[in-house]
Amino acid sequence: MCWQCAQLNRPRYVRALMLSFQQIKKEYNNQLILQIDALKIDRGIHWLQGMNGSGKSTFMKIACGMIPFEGNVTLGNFNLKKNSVSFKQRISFAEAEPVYPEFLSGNDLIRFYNAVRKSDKKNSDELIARFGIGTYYKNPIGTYSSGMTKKLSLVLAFIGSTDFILLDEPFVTLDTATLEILTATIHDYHQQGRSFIFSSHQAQEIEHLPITSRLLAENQTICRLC
Amino acid sequence: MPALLKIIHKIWIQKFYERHAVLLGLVFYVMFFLVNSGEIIDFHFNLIVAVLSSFKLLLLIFGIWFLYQIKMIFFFEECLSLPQNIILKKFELLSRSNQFRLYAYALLLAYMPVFIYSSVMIVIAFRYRLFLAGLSIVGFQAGIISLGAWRLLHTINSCTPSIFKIPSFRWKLIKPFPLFYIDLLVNRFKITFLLTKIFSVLGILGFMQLPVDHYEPRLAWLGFTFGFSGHYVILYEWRKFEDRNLFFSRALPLAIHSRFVMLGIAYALLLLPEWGVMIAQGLGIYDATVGWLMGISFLLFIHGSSYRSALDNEQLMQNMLWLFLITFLMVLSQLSLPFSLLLLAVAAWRFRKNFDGYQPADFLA
Repeated sequence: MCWQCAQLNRPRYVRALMLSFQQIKKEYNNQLILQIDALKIDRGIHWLQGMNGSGKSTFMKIACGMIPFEGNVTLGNFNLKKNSVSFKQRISFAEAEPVYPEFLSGNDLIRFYNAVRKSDKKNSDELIARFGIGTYYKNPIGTYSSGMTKKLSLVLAFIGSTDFILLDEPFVTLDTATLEILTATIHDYHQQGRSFIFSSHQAQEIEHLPITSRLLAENQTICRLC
Repeated sequence: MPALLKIIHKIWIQKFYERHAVLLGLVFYVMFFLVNSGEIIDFHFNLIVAVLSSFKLLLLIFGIWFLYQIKMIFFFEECLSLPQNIILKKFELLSRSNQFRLYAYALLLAYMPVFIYSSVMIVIAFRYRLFLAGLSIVGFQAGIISLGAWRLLHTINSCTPSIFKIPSFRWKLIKPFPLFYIDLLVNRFKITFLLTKIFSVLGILGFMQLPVDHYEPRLAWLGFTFGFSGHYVILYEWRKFEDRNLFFSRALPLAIHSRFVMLGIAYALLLLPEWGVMIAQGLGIYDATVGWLMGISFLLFIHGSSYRSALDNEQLMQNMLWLFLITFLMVLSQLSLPFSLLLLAVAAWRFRKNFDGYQPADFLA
């Protein structure tokens, strides 16, 4: 067991849905991008590691149903292809470099996410306050810096009551204060029974998180390290 | 200068005609081969005189030419954005007047088919003493080429491509998903949006002016067929918008039928002004609604077809042209409503079939 795993402090889980990948294959222009024969990811906080171009982002986009693929992804009893809406209701994703319509405001997107994820305003207001985006979230996204857009994408990922939250390079472009807020938020949500998969190259930020397992993206596949 | 002209020929003109060969070939066929070869001169002469004698028809023709010009500008700007054509950016080192002449020359070459036909129109106009119409064409052509060259001059010499500073529309109300699409038009494509609407409304008004001795909704529908087909540029921009800026929404729990309905609402809102124009022009509410439904189904069908493979402008344009011809025939055959319903059903089926399996060409980025 790795040192991060040894620090695991098991919380009380509200729900316990397992994310499973079976016979996953993703090709583009006849080139293999990612192949996973079988992988099961239990509740907890999972750190996805790997070099640039190893397939981490593709894995996450497949896991949240953003791009098509061969094979099956299930979350508990919900199959991504057969029960797409139920599946996506339970999983959320924040991209490494989020792109939103620049003429919309953060508020427009937050309200849209609230409606789609059936979340109440209280939840999003709490996240707006927590991530400190209250001063600018009503302005058009085109006026945001990359760090501000990143914070908005994190707020959007935390909206609703999803079981799994996928964060692609969540610590990149954030200032020190927000890094601490994000770490604390992951901690809090984990205590409430949420699970996380995140990719990151920043080992020092991860020291403070109770990592359940480490996943390695290498040679166009994903395997468990410990 | 000859070296620069060679670059322009290779990068802009040759590529423009290669890409639009199908469209131009089709237009050429419709204009010159559908008519009996013995009557072709009489046909075009009568057509030109009819256009020159009617201000509304002349406006309609100007609308079509303007759209063609917009298409050229879009194509030229697309070429400019490609990394392999970075050399075009070096034109900014030339003096502004030289640049202007160069871009006007490039636009004129790409505009040549229209320019030749319009020259014949000008000659006929002056020969038959229709001076106002003739001068209007001369002024319009000079203006449109100058405006296009000015636009290219601005694009190449500045970092911000937009030259038209029209205030953006911002509403404070909660924005439902379909309004994201409309927002794109009122914020980023105001001129395209306005011109498309003008063209579409002129199409309806032009056809409704044709003399008939009884109530005939098909005239408005035929005009509107031109009008909603002219929304192709908007459709294409919406699809690009989906690929670039709305891709995040694919990870959201939205049922496929909800997505289709939301897209349908966006198109319904887009075509709402034409519905109002048809009613204002004396068409019954039922008939105006049938026309409106036909437009929505048409655009949804093309939109739904575009998920079969990576977004391809040429393929999409060809689909649209074929569907335009079929729709036109269906309207003439008094089959507008059943055809619209069938088109809507097939559009929904195609959307359902292709949406989830779609990925944009640059998804890895």
